[in-house]
Amino acid sequence: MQIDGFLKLVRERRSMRRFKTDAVPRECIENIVEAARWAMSGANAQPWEFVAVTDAPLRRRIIDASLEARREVYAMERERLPELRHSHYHHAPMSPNFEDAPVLIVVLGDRRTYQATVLAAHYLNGEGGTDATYLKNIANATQNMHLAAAATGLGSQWISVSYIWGQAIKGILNIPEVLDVHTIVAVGYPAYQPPTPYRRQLKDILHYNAYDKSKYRSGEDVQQFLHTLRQRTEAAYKQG
Amino acid sequence: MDNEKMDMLLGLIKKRRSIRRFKPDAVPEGSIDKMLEAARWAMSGANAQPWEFIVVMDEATRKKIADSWFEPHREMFAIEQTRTAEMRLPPLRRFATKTSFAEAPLLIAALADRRVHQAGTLAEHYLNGTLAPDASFMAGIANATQNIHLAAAALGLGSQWVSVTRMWESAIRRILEIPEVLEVHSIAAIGYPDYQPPAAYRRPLSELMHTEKYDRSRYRSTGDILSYLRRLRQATTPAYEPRNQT
Repeated sequence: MQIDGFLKLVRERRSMRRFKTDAVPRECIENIVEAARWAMSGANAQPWEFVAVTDAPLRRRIIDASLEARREVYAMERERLPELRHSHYHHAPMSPNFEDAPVLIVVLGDRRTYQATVLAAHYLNGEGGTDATYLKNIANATQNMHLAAAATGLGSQWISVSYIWGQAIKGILNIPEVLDVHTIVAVGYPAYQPPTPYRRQLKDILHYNAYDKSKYRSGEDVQQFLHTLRQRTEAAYKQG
Repeated sequence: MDNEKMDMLLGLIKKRRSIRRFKPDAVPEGSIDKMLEAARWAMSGANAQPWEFIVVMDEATRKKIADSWFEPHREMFAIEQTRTAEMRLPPLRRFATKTSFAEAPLLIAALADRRVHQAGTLAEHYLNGTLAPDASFMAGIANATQNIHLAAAALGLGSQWVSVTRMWESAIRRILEIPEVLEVHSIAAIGYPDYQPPAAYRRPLSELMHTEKYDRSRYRSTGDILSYLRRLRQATTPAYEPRNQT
């Protein structure tokens, strides 16, 4: 794939919040996980594993297990100004917006593989924090899956898994304790066409040879951005 | 199902290799904007877009950045020598005399603004348990960064993801005049490869992908993991040598 094809794919990928219930062919699912398999990871540690869940009762149990965590998130979110609350949590949790997705790909991480990288990583951390490389490697694999779904004409949604929900999922899917449950990639045929997402301009994020202070965002600028973001991103959370 | 686009994407993902020696030739006109466009459209939690980038082509600046790499390297090298020889990461088996990105004509520093992570839910910071509270912030930065590397490959260029440790971050901050509140996470070294890397090693799909439930027969004990790491070292060591290999 050349640059124009890649850029087109990256720009056209949408986060899908409502799916058709039609099953996704097994070959598609494997292609999507294949894309994850070839992702980049520090020291090529490849800390990832995946559980692809298509079975309807299992998916139901996973979704029901999210409710307790969602109640906690909603309660905390109410402590914020209404216009800054995360778009999913303006109302008390009802059905999550991936429950019709025919495939849930659960992304697991094995922290023990992190031994593949330099020992110093634990004492002189880099990339913004301890575990940063591990978390980023999992993200690399996960985003590749979303790009692959988009390339196949499928919709997908990146669902973060909190600790409470993750522990419940481990029980449902018989996942060993030592592994972390990071995210779920919901995949299915799109049920609507999401709007074009909001993105900051290239000139706002690009500096040449040194940081351009005229582009620096003060704390107030960041608050303004967050307000704008909420307004501009609201449309993307509506399910068409 | 659109097979052609999927095959092309998989082809790109598999074609991308980490490059450790570059030609000094400048990247083509328009490449930088295209690579950053790919970064700009990456996914991030709550669409927070926590990234900014400094593109460095100026030779003197690149040299300062490379020179500042050695002191942190000394620390990392010392700690790595406490491991058994076979477990040491290959580039840290000998004290480096030059960086793996020395000749790259283009360095893209990835900066992260943690303040915009307020776009996520409050609960992330309190309910993430064993996972970091900033997992989705880290994911956003990774997504943008990996897109740069994929875009470089799509342009026929080579690239390398160079992590920035705390020690090195201070030096880069001074050199590039980066405001305190922004973090420097990594540098993407980009240019034309000066050699053909060997084939990449990846665990097979059959080991990674479970269907419906986790297949306990594939559970890896710590002993299994250590065996895997030894195999990984053997399989991956050639990739750290920046020269053509038969």
